[in-house]
Amino acid sequence: MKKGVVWVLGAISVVALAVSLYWIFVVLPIVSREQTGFSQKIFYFHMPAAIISFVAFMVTFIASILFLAKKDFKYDILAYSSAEIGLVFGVVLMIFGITWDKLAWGVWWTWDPRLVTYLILLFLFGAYFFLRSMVSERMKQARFAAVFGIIAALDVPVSFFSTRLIKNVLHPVIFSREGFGLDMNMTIALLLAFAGMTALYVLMLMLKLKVEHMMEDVHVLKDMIESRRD
Amino acid sequence: MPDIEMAPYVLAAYVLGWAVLVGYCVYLAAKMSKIGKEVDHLKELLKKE
Repeated sequence: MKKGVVWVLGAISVVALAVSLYWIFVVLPIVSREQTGFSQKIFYFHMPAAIISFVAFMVTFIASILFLAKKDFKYDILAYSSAEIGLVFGVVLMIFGITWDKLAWGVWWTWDPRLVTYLILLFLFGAYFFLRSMVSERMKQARFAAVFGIIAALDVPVSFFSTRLIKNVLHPVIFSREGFGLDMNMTIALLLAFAGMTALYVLMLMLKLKVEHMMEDVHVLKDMIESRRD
Repeated sequence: MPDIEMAPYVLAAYVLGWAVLVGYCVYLAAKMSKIGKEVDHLKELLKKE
C-alpha cells in the first residue's frame, strides 16, 4: 500500500465532503415544503451512501465468484473486507434514511419495498459474518462465505430496482427515464458528496486489506517461531 | 413539521453518520498500529531465536 495514495485519497475525501457540507448547508436554499423542506438536505449524503454500499456488496459478489473460480484467498479477503465496509455505509444510509422517514412521512420506519429489501440486505450481510465466524477451517470458511456472499448480493438489484418496478412506492426516484430531478447547485452538492464518499470507500478498503495482510504476516511469523522452537 | 423543528433531526443524522464513518477509520488505524507493533515484536523474537 503506497502512503502517497492513502494521503491523496484521504485529502480528496476530506476536501470533497467538507465542500459538499458547505454547499448543502450554506449555498443551497431550503426547498419548498412540497419538496420536504429542510429535511431534503439529508438526500445529499443519503444517496451516495446507498450507492457506495451497493457497490461494496457488488465487489463482494465479484470477489466471491473469483474465489470460487480460482481458490485464491486474496479474493476471499477482498470479499469480506468490502462486505464489512458495505455494512458501515449501510448503517450510515439507515441513519439518514430513518431520519428522513420521520421528517417526510412522520414515522421512523415504514414497510416500503425499498426499505424492506435494503434491511434484508443488511441482515444477509450480517449473517455473512456470523457464518464466517461459525466455520474454523480456512478453505471451508472461505467457500461457504463465497457462496453465501453471492446469494446475499443478489438482493442488491432487487433493492435498487424495487422503487422502479413496483408502483406506488413511497421512496422517491431521482434518476429515471423521465429525467433528472435536480438543478445545477443540487447536482454539484450531490457530486461532491459522491466523490468524497467514493474516495473514502477506496481508502477504507485499502486500509482494511492492509490490516488483513498484516494479520496474515502475524500468523506466518508465529508459525515460523513455533517451528524453530520445535 | 416546520423547517426550524426539522433542523435538529437533520444535524443529528449528519453528526451520527459522520461519527460512524470517522469511527470506522479510527478503528482501522488503531488496528493497523496494534498489528504493526505485533509484527515488529515477532520479527525481533524471530531474530533472537
